[in-house]
Amino acid sequence: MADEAHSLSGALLLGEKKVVVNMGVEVFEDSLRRQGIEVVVVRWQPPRELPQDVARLLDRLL
Amino acid sequence: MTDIRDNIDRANQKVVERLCAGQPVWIGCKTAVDVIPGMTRHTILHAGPPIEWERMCQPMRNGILGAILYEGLASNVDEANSLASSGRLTLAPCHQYGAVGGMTGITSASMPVHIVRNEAFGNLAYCVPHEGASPTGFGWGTYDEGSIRHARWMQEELGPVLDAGLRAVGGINMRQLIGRAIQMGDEDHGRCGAATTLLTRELAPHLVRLDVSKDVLGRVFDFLLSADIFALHVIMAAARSMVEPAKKIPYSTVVTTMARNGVEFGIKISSLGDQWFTGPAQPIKTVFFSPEWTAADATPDIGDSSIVETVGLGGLIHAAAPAQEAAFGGTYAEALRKTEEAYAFCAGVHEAWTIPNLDFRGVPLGIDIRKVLKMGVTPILDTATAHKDGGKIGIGEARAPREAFEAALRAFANSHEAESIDA
Repeated sequence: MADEAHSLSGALLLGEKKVVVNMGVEVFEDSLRRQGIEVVVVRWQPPRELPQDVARLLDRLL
Repeated sequence: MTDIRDNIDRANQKVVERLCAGQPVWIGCKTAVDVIPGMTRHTILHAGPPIEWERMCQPMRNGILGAILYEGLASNVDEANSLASSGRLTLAPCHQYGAVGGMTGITSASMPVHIVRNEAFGNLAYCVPHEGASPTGFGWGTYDEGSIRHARWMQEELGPVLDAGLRAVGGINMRQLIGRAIQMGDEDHGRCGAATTLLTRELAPHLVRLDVSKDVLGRVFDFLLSADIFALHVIMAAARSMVEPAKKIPYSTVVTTMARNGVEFGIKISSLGDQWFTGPAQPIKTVFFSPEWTAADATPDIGDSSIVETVGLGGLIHAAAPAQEAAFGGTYAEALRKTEEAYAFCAGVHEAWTIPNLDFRGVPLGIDIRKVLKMGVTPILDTATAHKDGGKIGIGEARAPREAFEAALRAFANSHEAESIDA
């Protein structure tokens, strides 16, 4: 396992093209782009709490 | 046994089809009491869901006071205040009369109203003309002499000239015009420059041939060209005409109205007809016209203009109008993200209104309350901001409150209790 992890980080550092996946906090995206790094952005935020009755209704209706 | 979800999905598709089939045509601009069914000399219409005088925000009260003075129903502000609170006037939502109104939405008997006919279904809708570039007027919640004088000018010159021009041109097809405007970079709520230009271009050759003085025509053209936003109220009437035939489709959970009165935000959903479901009007993320104003000076979200988001425009399609996003300091990426959000909570797309930079994908259409709640993301409404004491002080955007969508979902479930929906 340790060897695999080592070779993966090596590929990330030395590979020709790096793609970074940015989840959630978007402020990192801009600075990576400015460095010419391709960024795949995953918009994520903690799920909002729904009232229980609404959540139950959605389970049946959607 | 059919799953209720199948019934809902089918019904929602039907609503999208009806919205999409709408053929709104701007056919006239006439005096409200002459054309709006049920309108009387003592009726004053306002934006948003129903609200009593006592609970109205100050700009809406100011607009009503202005309308009372303009109509000659009182001779001074004290008398106007007494009349407004007396119960002797009919104060009702524009929506109840097939109309819509910007900001306070104040519409009284003598005001001119744009008339739009949905040619596919034969129904009519109305909206007072936009008041133009001035930051004051009944719509913005002011009732000074200038506001009253401007309302008179709209009644005596603007309305009749527009009406004669529209007769001469034979009506303007707003479905086509809105589609073209989107392709020219309008989202057709906060940004209506293309639509206003197109409307003016359609009207101009006919207006100059009317038997009216050069002075009058000059004032009308000055007005039309002074505010990019003129077309908005025609687009609002078009949208209002589109939603009516999409109401009362059994099982549908698609939103057919969104409107705000500065205190509450209200929605209607197709299957439940004209019932309102409300939540608190939200603060507006505002770009103020002057540093003297802050959020503490602003009235919460107000106006019927969110009828345009109801038909897939405005805050739902910032991707089509990157300049609109930039006006608020946003980026193109943000505009795209907001529009992707809208696609995710809508039931379909409008086939004739397409976004060039999204490979001509149709605009998102048919806001489904189930998806809004599941995603935890409510629609964005582009808007202007009124000062808490009246007057336009900025432009911005607000989110609809989720409480209105929750209330609608609960009512929907109650209306289908017999189908043993577990609540």
